[in-house]
Amino acid sequence: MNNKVTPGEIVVLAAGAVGLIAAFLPFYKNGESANSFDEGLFPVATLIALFVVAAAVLVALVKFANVNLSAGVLGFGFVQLLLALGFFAAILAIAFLIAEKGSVDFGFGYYLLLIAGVGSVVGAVIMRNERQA
Amino acid sequence: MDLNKLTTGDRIVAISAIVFLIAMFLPWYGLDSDFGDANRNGFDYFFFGWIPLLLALAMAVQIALARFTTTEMPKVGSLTWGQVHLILGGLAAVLVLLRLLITDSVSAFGVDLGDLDRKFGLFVAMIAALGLVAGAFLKMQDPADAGAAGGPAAPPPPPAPPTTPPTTPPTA
Repeated sequence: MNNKVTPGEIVVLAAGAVGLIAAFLPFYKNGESANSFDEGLFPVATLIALFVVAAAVLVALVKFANVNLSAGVLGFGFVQLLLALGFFAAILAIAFLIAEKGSVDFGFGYYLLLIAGVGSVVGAVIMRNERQA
Repeated sequence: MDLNKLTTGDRIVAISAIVFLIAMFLPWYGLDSDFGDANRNGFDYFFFGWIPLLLALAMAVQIALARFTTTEMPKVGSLTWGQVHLILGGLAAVLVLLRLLITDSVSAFGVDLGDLDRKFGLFVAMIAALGLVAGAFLKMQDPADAGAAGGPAAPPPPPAPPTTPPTTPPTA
Protein backbone atom coordinates (compact mmCIF):
# COMPACT_ATOMS: atom_id res chain seq x y z
CA MET A 1 0.00 0.00 0.00
CA ASN A 2 1.26 3.47 -0.90
CA ASN A 3 1.55 5.47 2.35
CA LYS A 4 2.65 8.68 0.64
CA VAL A 5 0.19 11.37 1.70
CA THR A 6 -1.19 13.36 -1.21
CA PRO A 7 -1.93 17.12 -1.10
CA GLY A 8 -5.70 16.45 -1.05
CA GLU A 9 -5.34 14.16 1.93
CA ILE A 10 -3.15 16.72 3.72
CA VAL A 11 -5.85 19.38 3.23
CA VAL A 12 -8.59 17.10 4.64
CA LEU A 13 -6.39 16.07 7.59
CA ALA A 14 -5.42 19.70 8.30
CA ALA A 15 -9.06 20.79 8.09
CA GLY A 16 -9.94 18.14 10.67
CA ALA A 17 -7.19 19.31 13.03
CA VAL A 18 -8.20 22.96 12.64
CA GLY A 19 -11.88 22.08 13.16
CA LEU A 20 -11.15 20.12 16.32
CA ILE A 21 -9.17 22.98 17.86
CA ALA A 22 -11.65 25.63 16.68
CA ALA A 23 -14.53 23.84 18.42
CA PHE A 24 -13.04 24.92 21.76
CA LEU A 25 -12.25 28.50 20.73
CA PRO A 26 -14.68 31.46 20.98
CA PHE A 27 -17.46 31.08 18.42
CA TYR A 28 -19.35 34.20 19.48
CA LYS A 29 -18.05 37.07 21.55
CA ASN A 30 -19.75 39.99 23.20
CA GLY A 31 -17.84 40.80 26.33
CA GLU A 32 -18.03 37.15 27.29
CA SER A 33 -17.31 34.46 24.75
CA ALA A 34 -19.03 31.18 23.92
CA ASN A 35 -17.57 28.17 22.16
CA SER A 36 -19.39 25.61 20.04
CA PHE A 37 -20.27 23.46 23.07
CA ASP A 38 -22.09 26.26 24.89
CA GLU A 39 -25.86 26.60 25.16
CA GLY A 40 -27.48 27.91 22.01
CA LEU A 41 -24.64 26.71 19.80
CA PHE A 42 -24.59 23.01 20.68
CA PRO A 43 -25.15 20.89 18.65
CA VAL A 44 -25.30 22.75 15.33
CA ALA A 45 -21.95 24.53 15.67
CA THR A 46 -20.46 21.38 17.14
CA LEU A 47 -21.62 19.40 14.11
CA ILE A 48 -19.33 21.47 11.86
CA ALA A 49 -16.32 20.30 13.83
CA LEU A 50 -17.72 16.77 14.04
CA PHE A 51 -18.07 16.44 10.27
CA VAL A 52 -14.60 17.76 9.40
CA VAL A 53 -13.01 15.61 12.11
CA ALA A 54 -14.93 12.56 10.84
CA ALA A 55 -13.60 13.20 7.31
CA ALA A 56 -10.04 13.52 8.64
CA VAL A 57 -10.40 10.34 10.72
CA LEU A 58 -11.62 8.42 7.65
CA VAL A 59 -8.62 9.60 5.63
CA ALA A 60 -6.25 8.73 8.49
CA LEU A 61 -7.80 5.27 8.88
CA VAL A 62 -7.46 4.49 5.20
CA LYS A 63 -3.97 5.97 4.90
CA PHE A 64 -2.27 4.91 8.11
CA ALA A 65 -4.32 2.02 9.50
CA ASN A 66 -4.86 0.18 6.21
CA VAL A 67 -8.63 0.19 6.68
CA ASN A 68 -10.28 -0.76 3.39
CA LEU A 69 -13.15 1.59 2.47
CA SER A 70 -12.83 1.14 -1.27
CA ALA A 71 -16.19 -0.65 -1.37
CA GLY A 72 -17.84 2.56 -0.14
CA VAL A 73 -20.78 3.08 2.20
CA LEU A 74 -24.46 3.23 1.18
CA GLY A 75 -23.59 3.48 -2.48
CA PHE A 76 -21.07 6.27 -1.90
CA GLY A 77 -17.43 5.81 -2.81
CA PHE A 78 -14.72 6.83 -0.31
CA VAL A 79 -14.06 10.26 -1.83
CA GLN A 80 -17.77 10.86 -2.30
CA LEU A 81 -18.24 10.20 1.42
CA LEU A 82 -15.59 12.82 2.17
CA LEU A 83 -17.36 15.24 -0.18
CA ALA A 84 -20.66 14.66 1.64
CA LEU A 85 -19.11 15.24 5.08
CA GLY A 86 -17.34 18.37 3.86
CA PHE A 87 -20.54 19.62 2.26
CA PHE A 88 -22.45 19.11 5.54
CA ALA A 89 -19.80 21.09 7.44
CA ALA A 90 -19.49 23.88 4.87
CA ILE A 91 -23.23 24.47 4.47
CA LEU A 92 -23.72 24.67 8.24
CA ALA A 93 -20.77 27.03 8.65
CA ILE A 94 -21.96 29.28 5.81
CA ALA A 95 -25.52 29.25 7.20
CA PHE A 96 -24.23 30.90 10.39
CA LEU A 97 -23.27 33.91 8.25
CA ILE A 98 -26.91 34.61 7.45
CA ALA A 99 -28.46 33.45 10.75
CA GLU A 100 -29.74 36.12 13.10
CA LYS A 101 -27.14 36.49 15.84
CA GLY A 102 -28.33 39.56 17.69
CA SER A 103 -25.72 41.87 19.15
CA VAL A 104 -22.90 39.34 19.34
CA ASP A 105 -19.94 39.13 16.97
CA PHE A 106 -18.21 36.11 15.52
CA GLY A 107 -15.13 35.00 17.41
CA PHE A 108 -12.07 33.63 15.64
CA GLY A 109 -13.22 30.10 16.48
CA TYR A 110 -16.09 30.55 14.03
CA TYR A 111 -13.80 31.76 11.26
CA LEU A 112 -11.51 28.79 11.82
CA LEU A 113 -14.52 26.43 11.65
CA LEU A 114 -15.63 28.11 8.41
CA ILE A 115 -12.15 27.65 6.97
CA ALA A 116 -12.09 24.03 8.14
CA GLY A 117 -15.50 23.29 6.57
CA VAL A 118 -14.62 24.83 3.22
CA GLY A 119 -11.14 23.29 3.41
CA SER A 120 -12.60 19.84 3.90
CA VAL A 121 -14.67 20.17 0.72
CA VAL A 122 -11.70 21.54 -1.20
CA GLY A 123 -9.51 18.71 0.05
CA ALA A 124 -12.07 16.12 -1.04
CA VAL A 125 -12.28 17.72 -4.50
CA ILE A 126 -8.48 17.67 -4.79
CA MET A 127 -8.49 14.00 -3.75
CA ARG A 128 -11.07 13.25 -6.43
CA ASN A 129 -8.96 14.95 -9.08
CA GLU A 130 -5.85 13.13 -7.87
CA ARG A 131 -7.56 9.78 -8.26
CA GLN A 132 -8.88 10.65 -11.72
CA ALA A 133 -5.41 11.74 -12.90
CA MET B 1 -46.93 18.16 -17.12
CA ASP B 2 -46.94 14.38 -17.30
CA LEU B 3 -46.79 12.96 -13.78
CA ASN B 4 -46.12 9.53 -15.22
CA LYS B 5 -42.55 10.69 -15.87
CA LEU B 6 -41.94 10.66 -12.13
CA THR B 7 -40.34 7.58 -10.65
CA THR B 8 -41.39 6.21 -7.26
CA GLY B 9 -38.39 7.93 -5.65
CA ASP B 10 -39.30 11.23 -7.31
CA ARG B 11 -42.86 11.01 -6.02
CA ILE B 12 -41.79 10.23 -2.46
CA VAL B 13 -39.32 13.14 -2.46
CA ALA B 14 -41.87 15.56 -3.94
CA ILE B 15 -44.65 14.55 -1.55
CA SER B 16 -42.26 14.67 1.42
CA ALA B 17 -41.14 18.17 0.44
CA ILE B 18 -44.75 19.35 0.28
CA VAL B 19 -45.54 17.70 3.63
CA PHE B 20 -42.44 19.35 5.13
CA LEU B 21 -43.58 22.74 3.86
CA ILE B 22 -47.00 22.21 5.49
CA ALA B 23 -45.33 21.00 8.71
CA MET B 24 -43.41 24.27 8.91
CA PHE B 25 -46.69 26.06 9.64
CA LEU B 26 -47.72 23.60 12.35
CA PRO B 27 -46.66 23.92 16.00
CA TRP B 28 -43.28 22.30 16.75
CA TYR B 29 -42.87 23.29 20.37
CA GLY B 30 -45.30 24.91 22.73
CA LEU B 31 -46.57 25.53 26.19
CA ASP B 32 -50.10 24.84 27.39
CA SER B 33 -51.19 26.75 30.45
CA ASP B 34 -54.32 27.98 32.14
CA PHE B 35 -53.64 31.39 30.67
CA GLY B 36 -53.53 30.15 27.10
CA ASP B 37 -51.31 28.34 24.63
CA ALA B 38 -48.12 29.57 23.03
CA ASN B 39 -46.46 27.72 20.17
CA ARG B 40 -43.37 27.94 17.99
CA ASN B 41 -43.55 26.61 14.46
CA GLY B 42 -40.83 25.59 12.03
CA PHE B 43 -40.25 29.11 10.82
CA ASP B 44 -39.05 30.05 14.32
CA TYR B 45 -36.01 27.79 13.89
CA PHE B 46 -33.39 28.82 11.36
CA PHE B 47 -31.09 25.80 11.43
CA PHE B 48 -33.71 23.19 12.28
CA GLY B 49 -36.55 24.59 10.16
CA TRP B 50 -35.46 26.95 7.39
CA ILE B 51 -32.34 25.02 6.32
CA PRO B 52 -34.12 21.63 6.00
CA LEU B 53 -36.98 23.38 4.15
CA LEU B 54 -34.55 24.93 1.67
CA LEU B 55 -32.86 21.56 1.16
CA ALA B 56 -36.24 19.86 0.58
CA LEU B 57 -37.30 22.54 -1.89
CA ALA B 58 -33.99 22.25 -3.73
CA MET B 59 -34.60 18.51 -4.12
CA ALA B 60 -38.14 19.07 -5.41
CA VAL B 61 -37.03 21.77 -7.85
CA GLN B 62 -34.26 19.55 -9.26
CA ILE B 63 -36.80 16.78 -9.86
CA ALA B 64 -39.21 19.19 -11.55
CA LEU B 65 -36.46 20.56 -13.81
CA ALA B 66 -35.15 17.12 -14.70
CA ARG B 67 -38.54 15.53 -15.41
CA PHE B 68 -40.74 18.30 -16.79
CA THR B 69 -38.34 20.53 -18.71
CA THR B 70 -35.69 19.99 -21.33
CA THR B 71 -33.02 21.39 -19.03
CA GLU B 72 -29.93 19.23 -19.02
CA MET B 73 -28.77 18.77 -15.45
CA PRO B 74 -25.05 19.50 -14.95
CA LYS B 75 -22.83 16.79 -13.51
CA VAL B 76 -21.90 17.29 -9.87
CA GLY B 77 -18.36 16.01 -9.88
CA SER B 78 -18.40 12.24 -9.70
CA LEU B 79 -21.70 12.20 -7.81
CA THR B 80 -24.95 11.06 -9.35
CA TRP B 81 -28.06 13.16 -8.77
CA GLY B 82 -29.47 10.32 -6.68
CA GLN B 83 -26.45 10.62 -4.37
CA VAL B 84 -26.81 14.40 -4.23
CA HIS B 85 -30.43 13.93 -3.15
CA LEU B 86 -29.36 11.48 -0.45
CA ILE B 87 -26.79 13.98 0.88
CA LEU B 88 -29.36 16.81 0.95
CA GLY B 89 -32.09 14.65 2.47
CA GLY B 90 -29.67 13.21 5.01
CA LEU B 91 -28.62 16.64 6.20
CA ALA B 92 -32.26 17.75 6.46
CA ALA B 93 -33.15 14.65 8.47
CA VAL B 94 -30.16 15.07 10.81
CA LEU B 95 -31.14 18.66 11.58
CA VAL B 96 -34.80 17.85 12.26
CA LEU B 97 -33.77 14.85 14.37
CA LEU B 98 -31.58 17.11 16.50
CA ARG B 99 -34.52 19.46 17.02
CA LEU B 100 -36.59 16.47 18.07
CA LEU B 101 -33.97 15.18 20.51
CA ILE B 102 -32.93 18.49 22.05
CA THR B 103 -35.93 20.12 23.65
CA ASP B 104 -36.51 23.81 23.26
CA SER B 105 -36.83 25.95 26.35
CA VAL B 106 -38.12 29.37 27.16
CA SER B 107 -36.34 32.00 29.19
CA ALA B 108 -36.94 35.57 30.23
CA PHE B 109 -34.39 38.09 31.52
CA GLY B 110 -31.74 35.37 31.49
CA VAL B 111 -33.81 33.06 33.70
CA ASP B 112 -34.67 29.63 32.35
CA LEU B 113 -38.42 29.15 32.71
CA GLY B 114 -38.45 25.50 31.67
CA ASP B 115 -38.67 23.22 28.68
CA LEU B 116 -41.38 23.48 26.03
CA ASP B 117 -43.45 20.48 24.98
CA ARG B 118 -43.02 18.81 21.60
CA LYS B 119 -46.04 19.34 19.34
CA PHE B 120 -47.36 17.27 16.45
CA GLY B 121 -45.87 19.54 13.76
CA LEU B 122 -42.38 18.47 14.78
CA PHE B 123 -43.27 14.80 14.34
CA VAL B 124 -44.86 15.48 10.95
CA ALA B 125 -41.66 17.29 9.93
CA MET B 126 -39.55 14.37 11.13
CA ILE B 127 -41.62 11.90 9.10
CA ALA B 128 -41.38 14.16 6.04
CA ALA B 129 -37.59 14.42 6.47
CA LEU B 130 -37.31 10.64 6.69
CA GLY B 131 -39.46 10.49 3.53
CA LEU B 132 -36.89 12.69 1.80
CA VAL B 133 -34.15 10.22 2.74
CA ALA B 134 -36.21 7.21 1.66
CA GLY B 135 -37.14 8.83 -1.66
CA ALA B 136 -33.55 9.86 -2.27
CA PHE B 137 -32.37 6.33 -1.51
CA LEU B 138 -34.85 4.94 -4.06
CA LYS B 139 -33.68 7.55 -6.57
CA MET B 140 -30.10 6.46 -6.04
CA GLN B 141 -31.06 2.86 -6.80
CA ASP B 142 -32.90 3.95 -9.95
CA PRO B 143 -30.81 3.42 -13.11
CA ALA B 144 -32.24 6.66 -14.56
CA ASP B 145 -30.54 8.64 -11.76
CA ALA B 146 -27.27 6.74 -11.86
CA GLY B 147 -26.08 8.33 -15.06
CA ALA B 148 -22.90 10.04 -13.87
CA ALA B 149 -19.80 8.09 -13.13
CA GLY B 150 -18.84 7.55 -9.55
CA GLY B 151 -19.71 5.45 -6.59
CA PRO B 152 -18.28 2.05 -6.00
CA ALA B 153 -17.77 -0.07 -9.03
CA ALA B 154 -20.70 -2.25 -9.99
CA PRO B 155 -20.18 -5.96 -9.37
CA PRO B 156 -19.06 -7.87 -12.45
CA PRO B 157 -21.81 -9.55 -14.44
CA PRO B 158 -22.32 -13.24 -13.85
CA PRO B 159 -20.42 -15.51 -16.23
CA ALA B 160 -22.26 -16.34 -19.43
CA PRO B 161 -23.73 -19.82 -19.66
CA PRO B 162 -21.75 -22.28 -21.74
CA THR B 163 -22.55 -22.05 -25.42
CA THR B 164 -21.74 -25.63 -26.26
CA PRO B 165 -24.87 -27.52 -27.24
CA PRO B 166 -26.02 -30.13 -24.80
CA THR B 167 -24.82 -33.54 -25.62
CA THR B 168 -27.54 -35.84 -26.75
CA PRO B 169 -27.66 -39.20 -25.09
CA PRO B 170 -26.45 -41.97 -27.37
CA THR B 171 -29.21 -43.86 -28.95
CA ALA B 172 -29.24 -47.56 -28.39
